[in-house]
Amino acid sequence: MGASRTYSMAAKPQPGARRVPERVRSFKWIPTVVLAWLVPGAGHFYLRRPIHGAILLAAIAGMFLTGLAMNGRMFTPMTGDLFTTIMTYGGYIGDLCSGSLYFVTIALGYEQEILPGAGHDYGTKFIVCAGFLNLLAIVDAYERSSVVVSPEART
Amino acid sequence: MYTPSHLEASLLFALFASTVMGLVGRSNDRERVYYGLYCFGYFLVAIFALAWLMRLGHG
Repeated sequence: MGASRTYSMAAKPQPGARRVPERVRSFKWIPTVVLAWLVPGAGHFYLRRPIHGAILLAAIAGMFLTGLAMNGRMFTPMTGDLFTTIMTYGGYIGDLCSGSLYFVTIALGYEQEILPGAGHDYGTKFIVCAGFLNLLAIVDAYERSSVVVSPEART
Repeated sequence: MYTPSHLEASLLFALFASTVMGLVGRSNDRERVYYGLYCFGYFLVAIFALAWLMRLGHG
């Protein structure tokens, strides 16, 4: 897929020296990142790493669903004092990082008001952190897909 | 509604977070497992250390 440029890491391999992998820039990262964002773990499935994808899906969706089970709240961006702005925008970005988990939940009409008690607060943090963990998975999928070792160097 | 205790919620958080961190943090499977366990262990240490700190701080 779309290899555009070759980076030669070593000019001339010395006899007996360990082969340095030749790196090829690939544009496979675009669908990978989009898939990884939309469905946690899907980027790794796309890169033919189904076990990694399944583990990521289980962990991230598990965290998100646990947050929902605790009646966690979704953030809505609000402006006001600096703390409120940072908290609500940061939380909203975290929620958005969950991709389809967030969109489906909102589409199904999930809404939770601010309630007293630690359980709801934990739930809110679980939902946000699920998004940030998915961000880690997206970055990992991007790194694995943006630079690939050329087929010649694999032999 | 699911209402875990503070400890249960913290352990669940540690489990999910260390699973993802272990998976994306290293390059081969053996190192991933070790790094995941390492992260989980540090989460546990932090949970108990902070819990005791808060208890001692409150008297």
